Amino acid sequence: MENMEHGILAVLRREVDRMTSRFMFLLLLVIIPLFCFIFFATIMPTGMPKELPIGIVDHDNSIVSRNMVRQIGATSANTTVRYTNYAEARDLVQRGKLYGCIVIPKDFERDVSFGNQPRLMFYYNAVYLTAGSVTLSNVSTMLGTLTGAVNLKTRQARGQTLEQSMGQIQPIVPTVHPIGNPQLNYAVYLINVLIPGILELLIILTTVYSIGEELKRRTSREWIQIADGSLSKALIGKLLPYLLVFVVQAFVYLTILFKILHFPLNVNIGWMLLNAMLLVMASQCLGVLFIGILPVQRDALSLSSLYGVLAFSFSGFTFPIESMLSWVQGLSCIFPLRFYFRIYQKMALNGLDWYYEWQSFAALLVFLILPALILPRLKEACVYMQYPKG
Amino acid sequence: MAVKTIWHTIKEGFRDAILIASEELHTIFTDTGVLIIFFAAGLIYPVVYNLVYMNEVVREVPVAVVDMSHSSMSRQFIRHIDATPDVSVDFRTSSLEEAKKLYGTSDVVGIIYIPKSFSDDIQSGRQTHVDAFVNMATMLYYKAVYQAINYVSLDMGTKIQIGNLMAKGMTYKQAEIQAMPAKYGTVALFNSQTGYASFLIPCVLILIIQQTLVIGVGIRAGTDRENNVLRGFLPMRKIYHGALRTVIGRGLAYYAIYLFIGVYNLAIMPKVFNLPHFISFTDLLLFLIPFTSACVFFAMALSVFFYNREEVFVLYLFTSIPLLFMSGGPWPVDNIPSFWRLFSGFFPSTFGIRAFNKLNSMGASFYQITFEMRWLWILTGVYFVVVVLLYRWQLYEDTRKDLKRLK
Repeated sequence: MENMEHGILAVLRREVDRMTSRFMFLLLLVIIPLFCFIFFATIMPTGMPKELPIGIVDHDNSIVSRNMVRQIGATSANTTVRYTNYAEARDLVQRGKLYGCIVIPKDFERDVSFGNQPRLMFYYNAVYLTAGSVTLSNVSTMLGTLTGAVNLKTRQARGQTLEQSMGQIQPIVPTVHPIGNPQLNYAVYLINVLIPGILELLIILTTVYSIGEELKRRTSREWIQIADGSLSKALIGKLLPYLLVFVVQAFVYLTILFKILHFPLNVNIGWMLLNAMLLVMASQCLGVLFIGILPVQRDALSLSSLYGVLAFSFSGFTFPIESMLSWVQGLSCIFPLRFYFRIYQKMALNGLDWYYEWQSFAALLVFLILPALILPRLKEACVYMQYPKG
Repeated sequence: MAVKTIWHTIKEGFRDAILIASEELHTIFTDTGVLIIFFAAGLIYPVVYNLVYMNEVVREVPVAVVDMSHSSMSRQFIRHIDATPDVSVDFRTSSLEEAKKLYGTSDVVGIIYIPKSFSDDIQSGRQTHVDAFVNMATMLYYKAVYQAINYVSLDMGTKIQIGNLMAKGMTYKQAEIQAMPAKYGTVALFNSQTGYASFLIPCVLILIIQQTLVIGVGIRAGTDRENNVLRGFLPMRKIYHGALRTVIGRGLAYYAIYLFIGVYNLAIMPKVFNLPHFISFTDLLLFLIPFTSACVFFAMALSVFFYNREEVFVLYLFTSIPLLFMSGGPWPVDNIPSFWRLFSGFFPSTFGIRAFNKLNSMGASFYQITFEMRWLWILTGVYFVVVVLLYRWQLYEDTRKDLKRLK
């Protein structure tokens, strides 16, 4: 050992050698992240569900109802319409071919003219929650306009102007502005948590795997020796190459999302790069913590896997953390992804200044001191190798 | 003579298969790593996911209201907004600046802005405009605010209209008919409380079955390779010298465990956590038989490519998220590009999730899901043949390496 190179640089060189000579790392560092990025960048080309098929059942079959069916067919921007009967519609909904169905009741025309206020119904399928919500809001707006049209016609026949009539028919006009995502693009908020989420998972696994390899192959003592007997130096030298690879990856995907695909960004991109860098480092530190707790590669990988998959649910995208049970809310704080996503939506989407989110930044920094808790145990495992190889 | 030999081979094959199955079960139950994946993940994850999404719906989303009108009408509007189950008015301010500050510093996820002219507009018969700004961290916030403000605007608007018409001499009934010549209603056919858990968890339950099976079987295969002589795929023992019997034997072992896990996941969990459960137990078994078989052979086919015990975690785990996405649950199938739809066809979970959603959450019958069921059977058949071929190839490789060593 005497004639070998020592110090952080030597560890670093050794790690780069290991990293570039194993096919496993090519998969982990390049191929899987690339696959995931391409997947999420291409899986939702429309951004918002479009052309969702719904059915119309016309029990009345009158001039008015047929006219209405025509108008629905012409006005529905995000739905395609199919004419059918009720039994068939229900069957098609159960088969997943239709997402909902408008029913015009029998005697609709007669009931309107007699003032019986007949009721149009829209049945939709909430098992597909996304598709269901989109069709529901489209159809509700459409039905509102259609039923208002009769009222408008009567008023105009009485000589009211359009403006006067609308002032009576719809005195209060609400407009909802989605902050930072005017097109209601699902990709905008899904991609910005799914890709970092997968990245977090891969970083934890890579860290645990690469340190675990030393323990499993019984090279950990050599690794520590090269680092002058200091585990901190050994870790810095080992993790630096991966940090570099993952940070570059994060920068590339953020640049593509914000600069090329023009996803909403209301702060300087530097803040998002900082956010991503903190996420990468926090994930590496978690990896060190896990292998330190369980210094057997396979056990630490099981733990990382169980943890990494849960991060998605606890990040509060799609279902907000505030709506979870209170102890689950507390539990969400053990996942850096939760803070990453919070910073993303507060800063990139809402354009808030960083000091509003200083707690989230601080929380990400807390993850960076986690390895300190476990260093003695990990060092013992590396030097004495008293754990099973796995 | 020939007939006797065939019978003999078949009999011997079955005997070996049973031996292999019991040996495999024994190995599984003595390997903590596999047990954690099959039982800890397979049985505890369903509970964890149910707890995370326990509340099903987003209620009382906190908003701040900027009331520039300061009129009894604007106050009435705010009261009505606050009364909806979707939204809770936590702050009232009279400047947009203050509301923006609250948006940054508090939990407020939306701002509703009532203009100065609100009451005057309404009283003089002009349309007035109310704006809402919503945080897009999740679509559910948007949905809550959208629903609340639309409902209140429509409801209050109609009352104003009726009042105006009555002031012109109509009776209440006449005025109501004029204002609403026809009504409309919306009803969720299935998942009638539009619950988030009821929508997502059935998909996740199916995925858990497939993913834990692939990971568990992958660990088993990787471990074998680490322990076997010359890192061979199968143990160098006589009973394993037949691809078909080994595949059937091991398949039976996984199948037995996963029928149990399947029933726990898909029959017990939905009832315990009050998720949709329209499916009858017989139908569930009729679904589980091909779905579990497809997953077992799929897992066994992939396992051939894992050379170390831990590789499967590192290389396979990430697929869970894309697979969930392609299943048709979170994102409508009609909107998935055809390349990815084709790609998703290789995974049993894709058709498993679609079939189970329809049977379990939408009360469909088997004749309505022939497409999904047919694919599950096709995948079972295809992966069975693939696994047998892969095992045969591995046996050949193992023997070749062994012969080389002996030379």
